[in-house]
Amino acid sequence: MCPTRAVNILSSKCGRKGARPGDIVDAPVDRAMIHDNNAALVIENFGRIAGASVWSPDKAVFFIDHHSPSTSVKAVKHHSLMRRFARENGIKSFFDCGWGISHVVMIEQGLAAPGEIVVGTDSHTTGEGALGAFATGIGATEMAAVLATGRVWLKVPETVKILLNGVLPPGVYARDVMTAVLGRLGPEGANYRSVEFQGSAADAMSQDDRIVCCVMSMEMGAKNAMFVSHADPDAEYERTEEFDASSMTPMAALPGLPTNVAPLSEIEGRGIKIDQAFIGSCAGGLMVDIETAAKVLKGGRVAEGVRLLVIPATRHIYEESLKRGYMEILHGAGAVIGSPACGGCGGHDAGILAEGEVCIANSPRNMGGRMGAGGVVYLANSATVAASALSGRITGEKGGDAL
Amino acid sequence: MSRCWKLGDNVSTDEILPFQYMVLTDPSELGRHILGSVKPGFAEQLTRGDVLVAGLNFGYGSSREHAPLALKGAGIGAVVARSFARIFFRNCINIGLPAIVCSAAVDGICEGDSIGIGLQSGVIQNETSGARYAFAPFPPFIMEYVENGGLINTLNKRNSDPV
Repeated sequence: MCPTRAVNILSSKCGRKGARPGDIVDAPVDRAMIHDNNAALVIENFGRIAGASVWSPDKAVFFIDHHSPSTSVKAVKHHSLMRRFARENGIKSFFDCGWGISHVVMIEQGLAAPGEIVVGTDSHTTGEGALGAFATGIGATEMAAVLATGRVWLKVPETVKILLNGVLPPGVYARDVMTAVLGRLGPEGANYRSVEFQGSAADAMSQDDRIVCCVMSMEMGAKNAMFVSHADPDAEYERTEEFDASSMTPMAALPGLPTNVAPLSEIEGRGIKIDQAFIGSCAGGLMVDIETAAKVLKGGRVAEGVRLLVIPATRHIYEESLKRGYMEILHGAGAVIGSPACGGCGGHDAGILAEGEVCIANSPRNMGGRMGAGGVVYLANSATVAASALSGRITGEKGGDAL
Repeated sequence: MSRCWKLGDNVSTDEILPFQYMVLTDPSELGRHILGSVKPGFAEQLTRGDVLVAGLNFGYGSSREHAPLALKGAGIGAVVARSFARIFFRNCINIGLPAIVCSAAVDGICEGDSIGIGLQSGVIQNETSGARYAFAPFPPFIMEYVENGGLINTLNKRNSDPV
């Protein structure tokens, strides 16, 4: 049996022919992404490494996307620290406020090419695997060491194949596929593992859909995630999880865990009132999401008492949405449009919830306190979030008709 | 001996340290805010060296190193769990906070029990109940990180030691 794609990338990059799952390899890093949520700790730790200099300034990429534009005195101090560090160390790839979310910009800018090893100080770095990079999240101290040495130790992972057969019905999105996958595999169903997406429904997915799947794989603990179109059928998978895309329906996650899932049809009947609807993040602020939201909201008006927050993931998506007239539709429907950033997803800047408030979002997470202490978050596809903003209650596309 | 505090499954980094404290970097300042929504007033009840005993997938979610750093800053001496989320585990080791996988200990330990942890021997001794729980000791390169107090100290030590 031959190795899976992740094992192949690691063994060839590390010069360890025949490396097997469980082996520890010392991997050379092709790209190191650092964002403003963790940069201060990275820079502080880098300063503690005796005699350190940045191993390869052209391979380090800085982003200000979590507290953007600066959200507090402390946050802007960290931003200043990042700008100075980048200047002093010759780091040219600096994506300042307004560029957007690292994972999506990295893909737009060709900073996560197939076969590359990408590490980022963000768990959703798995999203950069959409085009075939081996991309994984690490912490701040480890990133300081990567900046100094250009290397990171990795345990060669086992691989879980997610086989998506059939064709997705209209009104069912990549996000619903992932909600179904997360519901079956659970919050550590792919912990420490590489995830490969295959099958006819996977092959049919757009780049945006692939980003959604790779980002959301983190919510089942994936070390990395990727789409592999010409996979060897005999590759050595730990297991295969097979799904029939043709029979899938819109899904949602109940507050607490993104893996706490139910068919939307079961939740709709409960008449859950919402205070906020959020369309944004690395899994929900993509072109496809803005387009879907605009289609649902066209000619409509956000319900009384509901805030609809729309944050395009990147400056490029913002610009394209303006050109296509989506922003006019969203604005006309009463949406609040934010500048490209992580936004409400992590509660870092725009869209923090009050205690007792309910939000429906297409972002990746809904753990306790995620968007603000005492607020609760339901997760669903973009059409559901937009339709819920119109009705003021958790509702599917077309006013309650799930399809 | 260390006093134990018990937690459930899938405790996320959002719960260990909520987003509003991510602009802090000082461990003891971070430590004042740990697990506020799960165990209100928790940080004030801790004694240096106390141990968290958690269920499955402890540290689920974001890569924020602030979470384990806050636990360390609050005085937590080790975390024992049935399993850890991948990045959280690496972060613990990289800052020199032992993260030990031992389901038997999670089953056997009650909140308030006093334990001793033998990192080299791979044994947790429950002084309260008398029980002993075995776990697989860290491989040598991880043990080196833990013993040196983290990754940065290890790098510096390696670079200064004549080979």
